[in-house]
Amino acid sequence: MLTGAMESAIVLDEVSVTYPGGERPALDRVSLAVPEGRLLVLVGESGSGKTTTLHLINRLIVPDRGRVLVLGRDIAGVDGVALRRGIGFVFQSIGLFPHMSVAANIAVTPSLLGWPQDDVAARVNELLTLVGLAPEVFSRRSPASLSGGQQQRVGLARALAARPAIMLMDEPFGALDPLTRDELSAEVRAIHDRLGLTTVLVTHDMTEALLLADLIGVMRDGRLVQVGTPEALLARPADDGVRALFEHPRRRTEELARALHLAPGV
Amino acid sequence: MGAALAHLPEYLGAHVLLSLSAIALGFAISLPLAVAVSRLPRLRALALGIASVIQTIPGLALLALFYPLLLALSAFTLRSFGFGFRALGFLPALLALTLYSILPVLRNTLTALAGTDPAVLMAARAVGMTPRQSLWKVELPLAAPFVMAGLRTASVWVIGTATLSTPVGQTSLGNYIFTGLQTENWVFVLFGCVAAAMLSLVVDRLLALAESGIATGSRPRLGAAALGLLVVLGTSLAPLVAGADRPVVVGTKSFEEQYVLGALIEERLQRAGYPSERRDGLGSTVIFRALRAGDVDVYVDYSGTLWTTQMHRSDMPGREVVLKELAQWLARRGVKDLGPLGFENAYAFAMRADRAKALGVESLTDLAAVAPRLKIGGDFEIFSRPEWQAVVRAYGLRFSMQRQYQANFMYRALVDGDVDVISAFSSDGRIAQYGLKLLADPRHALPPYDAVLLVSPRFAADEKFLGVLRPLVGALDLTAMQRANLMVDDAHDKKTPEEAAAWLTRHSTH
Repeated sequence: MLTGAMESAIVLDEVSVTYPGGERPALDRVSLAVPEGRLLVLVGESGSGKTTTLHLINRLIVPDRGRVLVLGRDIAGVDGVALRRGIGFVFQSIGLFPHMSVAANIAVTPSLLGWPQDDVAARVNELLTLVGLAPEVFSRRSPASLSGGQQQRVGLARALAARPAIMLMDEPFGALDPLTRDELSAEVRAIHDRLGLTTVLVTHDMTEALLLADLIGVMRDGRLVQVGTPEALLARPADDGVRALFEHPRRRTEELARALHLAPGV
Repeated sequence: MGAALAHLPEYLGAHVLLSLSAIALGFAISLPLAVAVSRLPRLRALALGIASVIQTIPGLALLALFYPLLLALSAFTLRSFGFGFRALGFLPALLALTLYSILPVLRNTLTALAGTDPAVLMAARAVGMTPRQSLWKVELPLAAPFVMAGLRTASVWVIGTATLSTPVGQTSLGNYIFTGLQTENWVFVLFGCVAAAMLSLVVDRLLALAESGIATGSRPRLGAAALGLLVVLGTSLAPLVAGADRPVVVGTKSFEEQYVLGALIEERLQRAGYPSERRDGLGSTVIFRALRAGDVDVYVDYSGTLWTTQMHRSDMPGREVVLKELAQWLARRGVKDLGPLGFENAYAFAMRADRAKALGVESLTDLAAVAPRLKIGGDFEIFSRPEWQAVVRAYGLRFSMQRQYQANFMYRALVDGDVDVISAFSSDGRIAQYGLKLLADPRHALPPYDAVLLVSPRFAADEKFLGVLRPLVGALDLTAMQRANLMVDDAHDKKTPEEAAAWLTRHSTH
């Protein structure tokens, strides 16, 4: 039933997860395929299983049942540490190492992989430039001296440092102010395209999902309700729940358009 | 003040060596322990629990407990492997203080590790660190300032508590305090307190510098702190390194007469070219065991004390028999009894003369009749000694209250009327000074207490060594000893034990 699995960078096959002490499974027989080079956005309410899905892909969580394939390999037999060094991970609380400089934070994974010092240093400069931070200004600063947006740019650079083919992003813009958020999400999409990444991004912001995604997966109560392009989901929602989810941004957009038309001088 | 300063290099050096060794050893245990148990909730609770319990044991008791423990261990290793070690002095003090220093570092490290930001821990996993890498590269560096804060607390505790290692025979700044307390030399007590406090303060400031160096990643600060600690260590230890030869150890119990006799013995030894050192203020059971084990080489004990507490005899066959049997008993244990010094320092019960007269008390028999209305004061030992039980049995004594005092406070309490009777010492100069009435012992419940000079097995057959000390035998009569004791006690014209010893040398009967 999973056709085209070979071209999929990430495949979840009938995966279930139950947390210790959990009454119902956090993830219930979820199957999902992310084609190479695509950006999949997972949406759904809190506790619907988005983050759990994400953590399965880099083996931060091990499934009770089912298989997870990354770049064609079943990761059940793969060392989690090695796997994670090849997958970028960005999350809402950023988690920069406070005792290390910006440069040292970005250099972490390449250093763990034993890259030569010069290569690491060159890569750090390259990445700082890529995420829009001037290396000569930022590389020696401490994370605490950066704004939230700058910190998440460093987080992004750190995730990209070892040239991963896959990026996992858990509400990466959740803690940022709206302006920074728009700016950074546009950049993330641009970087995704430029580097040819396969990205899975979790958000609860439907507008963001519609604007960023190649594919959107809707989750509810540990199940994947529907997967498809934004257009497909808007045109043919699987059920009333999915319809309601997209109703909100649509209504807001219409209200906004009306308000802007009525505003004097526009 | 001058006398206090003269001891400073020796006391400070020993104090620094002891406390820094204990702090370093404690740190070497507590940090790995914290790391090892940080991810195991049950062991974590157990380790913290044990460390907390150790902390609640009074410092002096913890130090004292290590002596018999090590003595038994030393006897065991001697039997099994052919080597023993000194159970008195540095080792018990080091072990007790090491245990003492564990809790602050353990608790701070565990708290810091448990409080690591979950986002940072998640990031460490997500970038591909192994648990070990996460610990070394992220968690411990982030915990470092808290670990240092724990180390500072431990240092202040250890440097303060190290003053209590004097009674287990380890020289420290506590020698000022204990000697000062016994001889009512308050300058000494104050000097010891201030010196220990200053040392604490200096080490604390240096560690604070290191702490801020770690927190801010400043290498110059770390370097300065390390340099400062090295200077403290170097200057304090220099005098110790100078004389590494094992000197003769002169032991004393914790009262003035013993300090005077210690000074007297030490003066003779040094004149004869024997380097010597002192173990002052030892408990009376500890000191005898230390002598047998060779941790103390020479000291003065009292025949009745050994008769009752070591030989466990309750019969009183008379002074000569006691001395003869004691010498034989000691010889069988390898200890040389050089003989009686010439005076007795007996336990004797004393009352204020006016009070004794008013109550019509002349002897312990008279005392028994009125005892239930009276309060008795004693030193820290008397009520747990066999002599006391013998007296209680012989006369049927029962008092309305029993109190324990430091010897010199006990006389004060009697004179001030806080207690009616005290367990005095017959050679004490204060009996004459305060005109106290000594109660007769018609039933001979108390043994004789001739002062006898004892030498450890190490020197028991060394005729040259024995020859140096033999002139002291029979050389001190009661009046001379009482006067020497009074010199040290006298609040108005206080002399040091060394000065009193010098006076004794000039006025001894030889």
